[in-house]
Amino acid sequence: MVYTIISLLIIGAILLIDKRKLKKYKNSKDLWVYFGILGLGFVLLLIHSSGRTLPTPLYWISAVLKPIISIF
Amino acid sequence: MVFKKRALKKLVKDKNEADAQPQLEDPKIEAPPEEALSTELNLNIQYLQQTFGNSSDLSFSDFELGNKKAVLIYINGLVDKMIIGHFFENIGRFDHLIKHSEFLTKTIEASDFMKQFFAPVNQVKEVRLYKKVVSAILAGNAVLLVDSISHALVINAKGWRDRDVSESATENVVRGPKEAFTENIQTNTALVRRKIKDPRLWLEKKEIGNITQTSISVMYIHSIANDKIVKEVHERLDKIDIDGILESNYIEEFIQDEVYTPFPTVFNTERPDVVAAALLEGRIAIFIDGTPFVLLVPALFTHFFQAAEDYYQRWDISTLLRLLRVTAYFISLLGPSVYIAIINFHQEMLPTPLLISLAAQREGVPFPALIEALIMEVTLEILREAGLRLPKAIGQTVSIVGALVIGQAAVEAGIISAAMVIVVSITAISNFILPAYNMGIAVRILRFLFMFLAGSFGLYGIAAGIFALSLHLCSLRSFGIPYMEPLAPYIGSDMKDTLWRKPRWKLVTRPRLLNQTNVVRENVSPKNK
Amino acid sequence: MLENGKISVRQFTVLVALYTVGTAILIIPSILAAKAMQDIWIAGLIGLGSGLGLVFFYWKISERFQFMNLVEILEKCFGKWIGKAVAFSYFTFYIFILSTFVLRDIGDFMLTVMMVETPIEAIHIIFLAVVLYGVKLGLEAFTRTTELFLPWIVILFVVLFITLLPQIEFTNILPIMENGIQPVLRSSLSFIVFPFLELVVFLMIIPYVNEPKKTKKAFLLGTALGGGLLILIATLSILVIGVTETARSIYPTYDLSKTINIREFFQRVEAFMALIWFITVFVKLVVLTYALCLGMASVFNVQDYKLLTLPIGLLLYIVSLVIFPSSTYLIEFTPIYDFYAVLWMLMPVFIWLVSLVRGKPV
Repeated sequence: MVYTIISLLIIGAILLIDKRKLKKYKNSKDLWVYFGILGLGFVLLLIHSSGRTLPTPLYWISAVLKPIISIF
Repeated sequence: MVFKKRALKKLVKDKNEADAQPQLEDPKIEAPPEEALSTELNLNIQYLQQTFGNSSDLSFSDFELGNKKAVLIYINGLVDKMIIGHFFENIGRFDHLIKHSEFLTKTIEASDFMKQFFAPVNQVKEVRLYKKVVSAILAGNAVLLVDSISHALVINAKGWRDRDVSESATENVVRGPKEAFTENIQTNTALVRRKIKDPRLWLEKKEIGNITQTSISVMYIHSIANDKIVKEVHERLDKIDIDGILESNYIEEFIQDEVYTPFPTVFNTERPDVVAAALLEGRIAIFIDGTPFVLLVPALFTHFFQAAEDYYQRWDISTLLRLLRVTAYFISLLGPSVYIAIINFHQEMLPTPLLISLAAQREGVPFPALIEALIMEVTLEILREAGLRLPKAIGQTVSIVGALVIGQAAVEAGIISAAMVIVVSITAISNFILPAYNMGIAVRILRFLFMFLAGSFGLYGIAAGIFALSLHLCSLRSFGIPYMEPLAPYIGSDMKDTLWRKPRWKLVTRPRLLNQTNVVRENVSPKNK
Repeated sequence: MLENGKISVRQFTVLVALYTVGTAILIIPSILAAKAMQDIWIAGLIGLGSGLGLVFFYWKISERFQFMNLVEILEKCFGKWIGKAVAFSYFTFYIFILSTFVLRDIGDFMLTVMMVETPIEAIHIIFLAVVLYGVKLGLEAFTRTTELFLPWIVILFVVLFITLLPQIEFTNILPIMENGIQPVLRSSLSFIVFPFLELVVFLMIIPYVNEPKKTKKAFLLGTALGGGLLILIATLSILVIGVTETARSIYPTYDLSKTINIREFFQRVEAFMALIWFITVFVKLVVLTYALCLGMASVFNVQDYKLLTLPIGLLLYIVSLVIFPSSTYLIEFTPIYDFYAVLWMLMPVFIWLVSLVRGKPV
């Protein structure tokens, strides 16, 4: 619960800092990119703060690369 | 916030609408200010009395001038009584004089005679508009109105009491010129002119402040100062729209590049020699009437470490003093925070005997180091602020009480450890070393931030704080010049007069970014020295 | 134009040098010593030589495409959409992962040696906040900051070097080439991968140097300075604390500064020596994050890269927390990472080949 509140605070802080920039690009498609990345970050942050461990991207990398390396 | 903004907008809008509507004329005022003077003296007097709201310091002296009624109007206190007395003395001899001159030329008009009579001594001008008359009176002139003549004579009788040129109170030197600016802009510009006798020393005058009409002068040496910066200064000054300018800070806050920074990006000084030196470097001075503090732009970080005396002592001495100042700057910025960090997080950095003695001291202290330091620092700031503006007699009491509170009593009561007292006092004294008061304040503010960082993250927090601070400093600009120049961007040729000062004969070139055209300062090389 | 600022050639050199030193300064001695043993300096020199070749190659690419930035080069090379896709995957899977490594390095280091009780989240947030602030201020501001830090690094390094001189034992680097050339070459590969391969991000910065044509010398000089410093540090740690200690320790440079002791007076200064590392890691992370934001902005046609700084920072923060589930995983992953990085190295080669086939571009 505490972590969820902290996550919300972080997102709030980010939006607050970017307030002026967001206003400047109000009607451009740039905001889609912005909120796309921010949303992804938010979801990950929520999952992480809820106590579940996120898989590291390195697992996938090593899963793909290990067989190839073993050839050498 | 939003509501406030809206209310403000409405207010501005209302005001603009009100301005747009023609204001209801007071029926008594027959002549609007744009109009020319009336030939009837009484009407003119009536109008002026209305305009000034019958102010008691506005004096109207009636007399007769060649059978015509005349009046001399001036503001008491703004004019020199001697000049007025001289004027009326001559009025007595007037008849005789005018007869004498009539003898030469038949058709002389009384006021023309007055004009020629006074012209050699005082600047005399003829004006025909009410507006001009009013502003002339306000500027401290005496205005002569004569019946049946539709113009007024403005006699320069300015002469109010000014503070004399005296010794500088805020920037003292052991060696070097002692004089400081006064509140009078003409005296101030003259003080600089006396040092730089060159026609290329240009002075451009402006009047800023809708109500105060304060005179502002921009001074620079043409062909040395960078034209772009001069233009920029003018543009920024012209943008100012305010009712009153009372001190140079009014201007400073309008023209500085970055508002949200503790660091000053405009330099101020009350010493003519500092202004002259800055002008020779290609910087630009802004004089403001009514204050002895003159603004210098662009102001870079290193300028705030240079005292006037650095140039009046030999180079080795001033180099050492400057290095001392930089060291003191770091101590005053980081002193308490490094102590907190080491006590809280990095005890292993201290030699064991010192650690033991510190631990023994801190044994009875009930607070963590951060709180301890905060108590001390806040007390110190309060004492400092209290001592600053108190009458001298009380100020001494405050410092004695403060010394007792801050020093012995607090330690003996076990609230503060003795080591903390040492750290805080060294920090405070280090802060006083900085020649520029406003730079010192920046450090005072930041010191608290660093203390919090150190209290929560130790040296790591301090390092992060230093990074953020350096980023901030490097992002600042003063009139387009990077604030940290010549350290970053590094300009080798400008390093000679920054944190250290090379011998005079090595200071051959002027700072590069301030000035692009006229770089060479002197042609003295060590060989033909 | 995404970036309006311009930096000077000199500033570029400093940036490259400190970036090269980057995270490597603390870890590289142990990585090199693991295989090359006392021949660390030979491996280092071989690595530096090949690294310089690599940098020259990067510069050639940049020159061939009239100093466009990496995304523009890829778009030019592979067409708009494929180029964008390649650039996107490059930035997400290489630069982004690399940035999280760097951030995590700071967190792990602080957690293991300096502040054991502080939560890693707080350490990451503080560091990232400063880095993002730098990126938001723009290229000019953080480059100037880098320049401002340079004298401190030099001073601290000279102090480190001089104070360690009395403890040097030359027998530590003998015998030379005990196990043949094979392990030396293997560890020089790690050296190439670790700092030099990562210099590819400067393809995003070269376009904003005021005289891009003069960057060749600056790029090579910066790399040589940074690489030289690394070799010096690695050799120094072998000379002072010996091969076994260097290889076994996670942060040999830190242990090295712990041994500083001049007459019981000047000692326990490792916290100050860690400042060298803080600065270089800071520079490295700022450059990486800047390149990342700039790259993403060009991929998505965002007008202002500063808009993306904070969301990308948020992602960096989360991923850096989860990237290594355990410290053993790091050791397990290192050989895979070498391979992975080399794989990404194929991309510039590919660009080169395509541009050769297509003839001179533009």
